[in-house]
Amino acid sequence: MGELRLSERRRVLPGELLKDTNGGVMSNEIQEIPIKVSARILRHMSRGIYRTPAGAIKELVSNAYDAGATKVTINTGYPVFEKIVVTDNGKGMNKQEFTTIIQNIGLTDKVAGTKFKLPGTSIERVTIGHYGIGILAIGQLCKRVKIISKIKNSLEGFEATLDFEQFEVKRINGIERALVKDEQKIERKDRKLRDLKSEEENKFPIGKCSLKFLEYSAKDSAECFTRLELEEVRDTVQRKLSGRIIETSYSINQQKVYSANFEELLRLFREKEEEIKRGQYPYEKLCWELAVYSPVKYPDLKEFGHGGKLHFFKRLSDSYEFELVIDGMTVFKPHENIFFEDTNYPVKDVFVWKDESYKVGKKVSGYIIVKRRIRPKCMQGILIRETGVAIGMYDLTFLEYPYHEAAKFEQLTGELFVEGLSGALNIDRDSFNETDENYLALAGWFHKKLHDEVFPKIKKEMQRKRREDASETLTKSLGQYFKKFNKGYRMELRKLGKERGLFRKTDRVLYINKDHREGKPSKSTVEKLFLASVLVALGVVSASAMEEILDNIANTKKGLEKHD
Amino acid sequence: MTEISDLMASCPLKQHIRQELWESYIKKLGRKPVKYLTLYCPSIMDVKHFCNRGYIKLEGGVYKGAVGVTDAAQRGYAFTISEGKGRLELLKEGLLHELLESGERDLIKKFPFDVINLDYCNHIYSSSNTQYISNNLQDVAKVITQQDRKGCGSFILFVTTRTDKSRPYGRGFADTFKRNLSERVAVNINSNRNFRRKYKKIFGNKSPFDIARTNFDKFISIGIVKLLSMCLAAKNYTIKDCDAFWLIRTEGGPRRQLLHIALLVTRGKPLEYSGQITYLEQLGTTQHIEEGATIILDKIIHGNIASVNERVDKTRLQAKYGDYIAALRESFEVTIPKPI
Repeated sequence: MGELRLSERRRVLPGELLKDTNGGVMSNEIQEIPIKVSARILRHMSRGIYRTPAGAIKELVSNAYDAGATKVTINTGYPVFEKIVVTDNGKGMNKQEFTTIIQNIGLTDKVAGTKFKLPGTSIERVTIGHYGIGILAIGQLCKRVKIISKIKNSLEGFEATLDFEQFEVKRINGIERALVKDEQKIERKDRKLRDLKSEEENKFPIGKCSLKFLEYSAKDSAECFTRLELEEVRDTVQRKLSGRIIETSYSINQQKVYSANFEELLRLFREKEEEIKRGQYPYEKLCWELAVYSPVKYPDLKEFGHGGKLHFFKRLSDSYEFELVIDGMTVFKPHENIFFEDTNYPVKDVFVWKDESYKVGKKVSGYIIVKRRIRPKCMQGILIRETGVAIGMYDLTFLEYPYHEAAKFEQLTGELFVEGLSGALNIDRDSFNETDENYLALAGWFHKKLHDEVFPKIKKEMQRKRREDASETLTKSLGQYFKKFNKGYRMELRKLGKERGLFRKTDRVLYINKDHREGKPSKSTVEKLFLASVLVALGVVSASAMEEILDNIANTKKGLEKHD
Repeated sequence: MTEISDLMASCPLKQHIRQELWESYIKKLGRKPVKYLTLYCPSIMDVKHFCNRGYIKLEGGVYKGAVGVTDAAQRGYAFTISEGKGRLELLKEGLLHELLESGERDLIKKFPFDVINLDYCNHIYSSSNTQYISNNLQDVAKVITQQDRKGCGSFILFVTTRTDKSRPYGRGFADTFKRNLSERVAVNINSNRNFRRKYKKIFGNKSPFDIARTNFDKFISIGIVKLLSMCLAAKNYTIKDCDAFWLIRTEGGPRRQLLHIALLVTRGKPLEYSGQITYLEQLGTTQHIEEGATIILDKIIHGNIASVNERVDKTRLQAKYGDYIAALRESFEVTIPKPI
């Protein structure tokens, strides 16, 4: 439609016809025009929504969780990754349900946040998926998928084979459409198809899926499951997972390692973090990421046990009743004993919030651990979980915390278990729509906690620690000095009252008054106090004269600062 | 599960040997649980069977004390993807003797083992190594050396190897190896009176070179047992008890004859000859080292080794072990029923 001529700026009467710049006729009446979506959008989705293979596999794990599975197993086919198999003991599907899903991709009846009970238990679970595009996640990983499923109390199951290669090249009306590869051809064809009004075209058929019935014996009637066999895993995915993306710097054989269980894998992940950053050990990274993503349990560590500060979260994760096994390794939340038991870098503080409201009717629980050195580094930050499933990875921006806290950010790790955030999730379920109302409310709540509780306490603690260190250094240094040059003499930092002077000297002890404004050693004053103490102790300068000198130094410094 | 792995995992004949030969020998050791070294195959049926029998414990998804070595140079799938309920305690990639020679710390740390199962008939080993016997015997020598270094008193050694002359899929014995072995057996006949007597009783005046041509399986079996005895004796070990089993495969190619040897090894008399172990050259130079292996040598010479034949016994053994194998094949994956 052309632009209106600017010269004709007058009030237009209802129903009046105007001429546009191209000579076409326009009406100012409100029209309803149909909103259309190109079928291409679904093809794009099958090509890739998720940033990493772990992200796509996570989608399959999430689907199993929504299906009420209590156990999901993944056989990655490491180290070749030719075939990946994901099996779960969820409610499964029958042929009709599967047909509905496959014929209505994106039209799921799943609503995120819907509560349901695990069959045969009183355990309540809340669904996390709602886009109904899980099936397309598979297309990103492999060229063909075999889906085998069966519902409970039925002797019928099905096996479906979906070939994603069919989306690559297709002949429509005699034109070979490289649907994904050749965008221009799609555009041309889509323009031609615009005039076609048939129902079939409106449904955007994007391919075919073969389906066959499977019959099970009566003894297996009670079984329910879904098994996805991802065959012909895409070459790029294989390369990515086996670390062959960067082929020049090292060979695949060099990085093949073995972990008997998940604890060993975590240790390797921590020790080789730098290599992992460079793209090595991708398998270990995949397992680690899946352990972070999934609503699996916490390990049996003291802090998560009875009486532990984080026990609440163990109970919470246990309530999800979810087990994930990757290549025979049962994975748990990637916490290690050494993290809590590290004597060089002990846990300084733990902040816990239980069932607080970040918005009316929306609850959040969470914790933050303060530790000077957090390893692996990728655990620095905050991890958001919606019904136990992580959204993205640890966020070092702390939901875009607006104040500068320098290195303190790197000394925090924690998780927030949030309700009601599913609407804020982007389609990849790996990030948030940062303008979503609930997300903003959560960020507000969290930033307040950081600003009012966490950082002030850390700062106070840091100050105290610095003072303590300075006092210790001063005492130690003076002790060593007196031992060498003034045997039997010693120094003591003591609270003597605000009204008293800085020094009090006896025959054997030099007291430094901690209540005096100059009597609090810090990194910047420790040298000055050392020198002053020695001079007073040796009787070179009297205590009162030294106090005067120190006052003069302080005044001079103030003057200089003023001058600056 | 890969196709070949599937074949290995489902074979009832192999299960027969696991139970009738291997298990009976582990019993003789009188220890539970055992530390177990195996040549890894993803199906780990041996590990699963011994776990089922209580010789290996499955704790926290790990088969405690079970260590695997796999030569996955050509096919990476052999590595790690354990199709069991859990994983081995350690899995190393490479040739066993090379790993031990290079001082692979993780592996060496796990020594000594109670049971060492060197099954060179599994596909991983036989597919990638055309001269495998020579290499494999190096494995045995290095393993025994490690057992000795770690002060192991007694252990079980299983060695399984092809003994047929044919070379399907390019596998088989290296010609140089066969020639060397014939020469050494010839020397042995001259120097070892007992052996000469037994040999002549069965083979008459035929030379080892003739036997190698006309009666290859017996010839190679005798040679291997003698070589194993030699390797053990070199480290002051002796064979306390031994037995063997033939497994004759007829499906999927020409007839293949597999010799499964089981040895109960204990500390023995010091070897008179204490030079560097270069077993081929040393064969036949000592008198007493094969003493313990007499039973098995006699059995081989007289053709009294028990055997199972794929063509004759498969159906019978399938009926016997089918359900057990199916149960054993359960992996860490969520078990789903099979459709009718």
